[in-house]
Amino acid sequence: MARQQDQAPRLLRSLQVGAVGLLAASAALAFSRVFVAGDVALRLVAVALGSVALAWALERRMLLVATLVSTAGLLVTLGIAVFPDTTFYGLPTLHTYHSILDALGKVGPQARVEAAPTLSLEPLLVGAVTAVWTAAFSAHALAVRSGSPFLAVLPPAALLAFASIVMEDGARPLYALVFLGSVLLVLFADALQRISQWGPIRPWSAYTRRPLARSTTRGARRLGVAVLAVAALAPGILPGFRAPPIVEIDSSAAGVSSVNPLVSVAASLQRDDPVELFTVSSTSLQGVSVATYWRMLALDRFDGTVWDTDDIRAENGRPLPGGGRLSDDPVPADAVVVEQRFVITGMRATPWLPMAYVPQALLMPGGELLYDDEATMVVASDGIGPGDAYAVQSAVPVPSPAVLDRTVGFGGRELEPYLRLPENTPEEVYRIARELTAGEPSVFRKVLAVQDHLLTFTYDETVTPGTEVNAMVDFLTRTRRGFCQQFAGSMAVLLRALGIPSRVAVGFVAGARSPADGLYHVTSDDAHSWVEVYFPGQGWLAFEPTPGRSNPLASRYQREPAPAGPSPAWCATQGCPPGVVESAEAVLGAVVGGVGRGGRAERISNLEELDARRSGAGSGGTTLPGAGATGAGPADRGLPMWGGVLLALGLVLAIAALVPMGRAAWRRRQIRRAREPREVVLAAYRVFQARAGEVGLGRRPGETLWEHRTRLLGIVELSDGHLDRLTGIAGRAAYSIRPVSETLAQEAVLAARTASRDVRRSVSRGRRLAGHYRLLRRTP
Amino acid sequence: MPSTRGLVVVGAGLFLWLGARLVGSPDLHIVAVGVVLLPVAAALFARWNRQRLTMVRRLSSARAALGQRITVELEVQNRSGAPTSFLLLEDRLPASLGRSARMVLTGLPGRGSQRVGYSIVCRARGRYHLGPATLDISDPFALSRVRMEFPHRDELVVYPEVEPLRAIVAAPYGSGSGDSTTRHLFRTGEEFYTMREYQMGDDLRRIHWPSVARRGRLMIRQDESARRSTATIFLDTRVSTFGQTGMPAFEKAVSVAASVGSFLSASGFALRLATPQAAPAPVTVDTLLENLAGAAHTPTRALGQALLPLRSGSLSGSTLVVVSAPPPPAEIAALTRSGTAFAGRIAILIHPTDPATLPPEPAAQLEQAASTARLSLARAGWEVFVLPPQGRLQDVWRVNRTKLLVSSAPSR
Repeated sequence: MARQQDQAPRLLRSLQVGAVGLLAASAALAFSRVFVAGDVALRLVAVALGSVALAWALERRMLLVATLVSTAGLLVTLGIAVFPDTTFYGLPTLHTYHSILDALGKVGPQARVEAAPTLSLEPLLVGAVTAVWTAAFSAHALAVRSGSPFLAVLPPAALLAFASIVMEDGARPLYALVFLGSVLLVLFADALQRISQWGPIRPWSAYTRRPLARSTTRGARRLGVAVLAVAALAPGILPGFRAPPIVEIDSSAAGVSSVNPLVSVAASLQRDDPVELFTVSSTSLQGVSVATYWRMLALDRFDGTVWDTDDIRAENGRPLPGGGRLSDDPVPADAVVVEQRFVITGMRATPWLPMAYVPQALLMPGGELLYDDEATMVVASDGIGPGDAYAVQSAVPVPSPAVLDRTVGFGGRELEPYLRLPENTPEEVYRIARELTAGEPSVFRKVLAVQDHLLTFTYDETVTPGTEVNAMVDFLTRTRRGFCQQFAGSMAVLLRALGIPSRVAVGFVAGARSPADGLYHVTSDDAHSWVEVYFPGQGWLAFEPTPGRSNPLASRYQREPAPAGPSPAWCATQGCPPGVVESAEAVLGAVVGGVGRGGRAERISNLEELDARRSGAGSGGTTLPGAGATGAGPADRGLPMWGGVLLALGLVLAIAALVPMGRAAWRRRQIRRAREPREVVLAAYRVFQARAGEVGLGRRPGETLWEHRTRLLGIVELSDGHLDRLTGIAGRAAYSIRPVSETLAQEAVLAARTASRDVRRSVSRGRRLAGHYRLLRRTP
Repeated sequence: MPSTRGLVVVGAGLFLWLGARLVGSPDLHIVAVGVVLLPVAAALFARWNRQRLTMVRRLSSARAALGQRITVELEVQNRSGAPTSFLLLEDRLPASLGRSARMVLTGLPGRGSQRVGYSIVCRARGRYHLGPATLDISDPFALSRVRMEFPHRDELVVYPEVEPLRAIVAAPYGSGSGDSTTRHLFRTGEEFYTMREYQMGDDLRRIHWPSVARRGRLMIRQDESARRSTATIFLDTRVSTFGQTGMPAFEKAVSVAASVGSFLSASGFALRLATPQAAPAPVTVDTLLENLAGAAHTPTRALGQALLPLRSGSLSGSTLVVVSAPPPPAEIAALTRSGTAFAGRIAILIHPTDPATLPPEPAAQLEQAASTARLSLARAGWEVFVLPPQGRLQDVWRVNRTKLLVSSAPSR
C-alpha cells in the first residue's frame, strides 16, 4: 500500500507532463499547416515533444537554469531539424550557429513576404521551430511549475490561431478537436493533482488500486467525448463562428505586403491537393478561344534575396471603381485582342486580378479597384474571393522577331529601376551573362540566348526554394535544377547584368480548357512566374525561361523566325484573307485552344460599350453574374502586423493583471473557507507560506515551522514578533490538542498578513513581480 | 454548482472565444466552445451523479485505552444505478484525534459499495464524537462540486492512562487470613466461608480444632465478609488545583485516579467516585474509566465545601483516596477532617508543576508546601504519596502497598 501511495504522485505527474506534451504536439501539428511539405509536421511535433521532455527533465531545477538549458536544447534542435548538414553527428558546429544566426536575420523579411502555405524556407523553419519549442516549454512551465493549466493553454493556442489566421482555410475541425482533446487532458491531469491533495485516491476496489485506474478515468472519458462531440457538431452555440474578424488586421500601414506572390507561386506548386482558383472564358474578337498567361503583377525590385515592388498594393494607383478604361493608347498593330471573363472559384483574399497582358479595359461592378499603370496591375482593395467575377479586354502584343531584332534604345533613364541590381551581386553573374550572349547581334537575340540557355536546365519543384543571389549562382553553375521561381529570377538578373530592362511577372499559365464548358480552369498548380523584358516601342514582352512551360501567344516571337506577310496571330484574331487565316491558324495551332464557344453575352466588344455598361453598373444594373458578390469573400487577412502586435500586447497585459488578482482571490478564499478557528490559523499560515514561497523564501522540504522562522529571521527584517506569533499559533493549531480560540485565529490572520508583507518587502521589486507568476522556483 | 475553478474555466473559454472573434480563427472558436461547455457539462454530470448515496461508519472498538490504535471503516453505498465520478469523503475528527480523515473514491458503480478505512491513534483521553462525514461529489475535471452531509456521529471513549499497580501478596506475618488476595481483603466480615489446610504463616488462633480432630491435619477457619469493602476516590478537578483540562498535572491526576480505581476494583473494592462538583456515586471500573475519560476541570470552590458530601456519604470502614495537589495549609485541616469518617485514608498529591522545571525559589516553595502537607496528613493517619506531573505512581506505590492494605482493614 505504501508503495502505491509513493507511486501515485509520480503517476499523476507523468500524466500531467504527458498531457502537456500532447497539447504542444497538437498545436505543432496544427501550426505545421503553414508549410507545404508534409515532413515539417513530423519535425515540429518532434520538436514540441522534445521541448516538453527536456522541460520535464529540468523540472526540479530553478526556472532560470531550466530556461538556459532549454535554450541550448533549442540550438541543438535547430541544428538537427533545419541545418542537419552543418552538424557533426547531430551536434551543432560553428557553421550551424552561423547558419542559425543568418536565418534568424531573415525571418522578419521572409515572414513579411511569405504566403501560407509556404515552402520549408530555412528562415521560416527556424522561426517555426523556435515558436513551437518556446510554446511547449512555456506550456510546461505554466502547467507544471505554476500549476496554471489555463495559462498553459495560451501559448499553444496562439500557434493554433496563427495557423488558421494565415491559412484562411476556414475551420479545420480535426486540428481543433485534437487540440481541444489535449486541453481536456491537461485539465484532467491538473484536476487529479488537485484532488489527490484532498486525500489519497481510492479507485473502486473491483478494478485496481492504481490511482489511474479505469474507474478513475471513466467519467473523464465520457465527459470529454460529450464535450468534443458538441464542440464539433455545434460550434455555433457561441456566436461568431466563421464570422469575419472583429479586428481587421491591416498590414498596409506598414508598407509591406502580406504575401509575396512570387513565393506564393512556389508554395502553390507544391500543394498536395491542387484547388481550382478561377475559370476564364477567353476569346478573340472573332470568337476564337485564346489561351495565354493570366498575369497579376510584376516585381521590379531585387534586393539580393527576394523580388518585390514598392507599391505592391497599388496604393498610389488610380482609383477604378467598378472598372473602366485602363489605357487610352491605340491597340498596336501586332497585338491580339483577347476578351476574358473571369469567375473566381477558389482563390481567396488575393488583391491582384489575373488578366491577360496588356489590359485595355476592365468591368467589375461594385469592385473597389486601383490601377497601377507602371506595373500594369489591378488591385482589389478588399481582395477577391469565391463568387467574384469580372471581364477584361486585353491587347496581347505579339510582335515579330524581325521587329524585335531591329529594336534599339534600351538605355532610357526611366528604365533605370529595371536595370538595378544589388551591390553584392557576384561578378560571376555578369560573367555568365556575358558568356551566354557573346556574339549575339541584337538585344532581342541576347534575351533569347539567355532564355534558351535556361531552357536546357531541369525543371524540379523539390529543390530548396529561394531567389537569393548566392543560391542563384549555385543554380546557374552547379545544380541547374529549379522551378519557375529560380528560372524567372535568374533570367531577370542576367538580363539586368547585360543592361536589358527586365522584371519578374507573376500569375498563372492558361490552365486546362474543358471541352464541356469551353472555359479554362486554372488551379493552384498553374501558378507561375516568368520574365518581362522592355522593348522600346513594343512595351513589356513576356519571355519564358522555364522548361516545360510555354506562353502560347508569346511563343511566336520567342521561338519562331519572322514569317513574311501579316502576323499569323493578327490574322487569326483580327481577320485576314482566307488563305492567310489558315496559315495563321497553323502557326498558332498550339496557341489557340480551339473554336470559340457560343454565347459571348458578356464580351466587351468595344470600349464605348464598356463605358456605357460601367455607368449602368453604377446605378445597380449589374450585368456580370456573380459580380454582386464582390466583397463578400473574406477580406485580406495577412500576417498580423500592428493590430496583431497590439492584440498580443493586450492579451499579455490582461493575463499579467489577472494572475495576481486571481492569486489574491485564492488567498482570501483560503481563509474565508476555513470554518473552525484551527482551520483559520492553518489557512493563514498556508497563505503566508504561499506568499513567502512566491519570492523564494518558502519552507524547504523537511523544514519545521520554527526552523523556517529562524531562517527567515536571518534574512528578513521582520516587524516585532509577528512571525513568532504566527509560528506559535500555527504550531499549536497543527500539532497541539489544546483548542484554538476565535481571537487567536484572528490574531494569526493579522500576524500572517504582517509577516507576509515583511517578507515580500525584503526582496527586490523584480523578484516580487516574478513571484506573482511563480517564476522563481517550485512552491515548496 | 460550478466551483471557482469551473468559473475560471468558463472565463478562460470566453477569453479564447473573444480571441477567436478578434482574429477570426474558427479553430480557436471550436476550442473555445469546448472549454466554455466543459464546466457546464461537468456541473450537469455532477448533479446527475448525485444519487442516493449512503454512508455507514464502523469503529473497531468504541472504547480504547490511551495509545491504542482504532480503525474506522467507512462504507459508501451507491443505491442508484448510475456510477459515481469522484467522491471526496471527509470524516471530521476532533482535533485531539488528528486531522479529519480525507480520501477520494472514484468510479463507484451503480448498486455498488466501497469500504475505505483509516486509523486513529488515541493520544489523549476523552469522550470523542467522530463525524459528521461529508461527501463532495466532483466531476472528473474538478470543475463543480455538490456536497452531501451525513450527520450521524459515533462516540469513541479513550480511557485515561492506567498504570499497573502490583497486586497484593499476603504478608507472612500479616492478618493470617490466607493467601487469597480477595479473601484477604474481605476480612471485615464475620460469616464462615470455608475450611482449608493450614499453611505456614497462618494465624494459629484461627485453627479449627474440631476439624483438626476429624481430619488429623491442621485446618484453618476462613471467614467471609457479608459486604464488600468500599473505596471512595475523590478527584480534585478544581481549576485552581491543576489548571485546565489538558494540563499535564490535571491529566496525571486523572490517570492516577484511574490507576488506583482499577487497582482497588481488581482488589475487590466497591468504588465510589466523587469530584468537587459531584457527590460520591457508586461506579464500576468501566464507568469509572468512562467518567474519568470525560473529566474536565471545574470552577474553583473551597476544598472543605467540596469534601462535605464525602463525609455525609461515607460508609464505616471504607477507604478514602484523595487525588489532589499539595494543599495549602488552610485546606489541610479540611482534608484531615474529611478523612476522619473513613477507616483508610490515602492522599496522592501531584505537583501542579514539576519542581525540577522551576527556578530554585519557586521549586523550593512547592517542595515545602508538599512536605508540610505530607507531614500534617501523615500525622492524621493518612498515607501520602507525592508525585510530579511526569512521575509514575507505580514507582511510589510499590513501596507503600503493604501499609496501605493494612490500613484499609482495621476491624478484623
